[in-house]
Amino acid sequence: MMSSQDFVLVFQAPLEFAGRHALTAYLDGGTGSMVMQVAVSGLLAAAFVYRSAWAKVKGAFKRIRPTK
Amino acid sequence: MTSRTAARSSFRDNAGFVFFSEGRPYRHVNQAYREDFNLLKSSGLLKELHDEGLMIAHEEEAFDRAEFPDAIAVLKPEQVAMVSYPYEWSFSQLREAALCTLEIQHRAMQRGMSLKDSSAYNIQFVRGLPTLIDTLSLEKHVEGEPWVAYRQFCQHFLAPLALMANVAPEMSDLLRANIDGIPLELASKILPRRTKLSPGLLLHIHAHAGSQRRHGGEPRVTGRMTKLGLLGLIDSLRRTITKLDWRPQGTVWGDYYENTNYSKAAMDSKREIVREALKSARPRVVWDIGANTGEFSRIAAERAESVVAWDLDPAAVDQHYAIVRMRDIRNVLPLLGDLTNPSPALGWAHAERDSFLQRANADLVMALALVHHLAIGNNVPLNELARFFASIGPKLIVEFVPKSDTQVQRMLSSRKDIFPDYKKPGFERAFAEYFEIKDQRPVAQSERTIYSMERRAV
Repeated sequence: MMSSQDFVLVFQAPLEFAGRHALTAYLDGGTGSMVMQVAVSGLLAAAFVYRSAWAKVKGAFKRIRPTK
Repeated sequence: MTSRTAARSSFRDNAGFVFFSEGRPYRHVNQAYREDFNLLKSSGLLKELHDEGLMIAHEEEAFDRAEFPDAIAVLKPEQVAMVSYPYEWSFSQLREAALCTLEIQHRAMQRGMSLKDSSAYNIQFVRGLPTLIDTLSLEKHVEGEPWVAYRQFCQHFLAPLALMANVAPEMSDLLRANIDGIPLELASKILPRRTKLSPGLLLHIHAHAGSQRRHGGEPRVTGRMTKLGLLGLIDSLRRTITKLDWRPQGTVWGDYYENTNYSKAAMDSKREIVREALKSARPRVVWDIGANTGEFSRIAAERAESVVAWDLDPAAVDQHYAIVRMRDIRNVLPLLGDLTNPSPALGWAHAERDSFLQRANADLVMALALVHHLAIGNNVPLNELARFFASIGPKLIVEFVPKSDTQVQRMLSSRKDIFPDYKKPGFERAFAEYFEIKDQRPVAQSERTIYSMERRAV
């Protein structure tokens, strides 16, 4: 099984293209936490789109199916 | 405003601060927050969060510019009946507070804003439901930016919930030791290995801790994060938290009322005595200490405006919270607290989080079936107990359980009886030092007595 360290290494590859942003918030978001989010952003977006679409399909199916 | 005192807990955010005037809180909104405050209102987010009960309601006060030269607004928020802290919440309470935070972040994203912090201390139970009390927590979302409060959310909510669900409910005590939430590296070390099989916990705790370790101390570097990615992040956190579950099993008091030595007649008699005592005391705020699952807190709630129900057993508090949510009882707040080691004042200069006694605003204290646990179970002298109760509130309904009661006999069976004064006259003598005994009633079919007392003027 993939270890948590491998997991981060695989998904942080896109960060080589990362830029630096101005600091706006009063809290330190933590570099590791920001990196983590960007690294898995695509994965989470895809999962979200899939789940939303699937929920719509299920919703439509429920409407079509007559209730007893 | 005549006199103003800045809240000492409100210093981190440059968008504003809380101050007190004439005993109630106000929120000073600084010039620095102007753009975000305008967006909060013009985007419709403020109204939406107020309408949905997700954020505390407030009125904008008219103010004198000479008195508040740096303010763009002064807010008068609805007052919170009882300020409580995450280390005093049961699993379900912390979970609902977490879901409330995510719901706010989701709605904020739809309107071009984002939570800039996600501290669990920004959530309070207002009329029974978790509510965001920091109006200035929302800021304009900068396109492409990740969620700056992600780390804080995981430390304040996800890590303690995961530990409570997978290790022990008492793990929430770690929130008391770590004022900014449980460090993820620590949570990752304590959590069982099997939690790596949960995609949500693998990602948001274990891998997240690894990423923090790897990038600690580096300058802030970010890539672009799409709005869809951010919505996916919120959805993933929500799913992970919803899946976490904790069912109380084999706890100390969880089944107390079912296994107690009370007969039905004794229980009915106790209910009646307490109801009558409350009727003549007419309290506004009741603190029920040692409340268990809240049988008597709910009787108090029939008369009082607000009841705070403390117990040391996470199972009892969680069960109590489930009951008040199910029955939609909004004026009872169950909280977790050990009276032998009550919540201390915490944080910077001991002034960020108030202690148990600093928040004691009860006008009536109920201590039913409790004295023997503290006096015999924890060796607290009776006069010291009376002094402690007197510091919580001016009126007291207290039950004395004598040594002949089977509960006390069970407690004494494994230890030496070093309590010669633990008798009715000794109890009355000790309490008379701080209270005037107004009434005493025997509980039918038992050897217990319930007293109504009033604190003596100092």
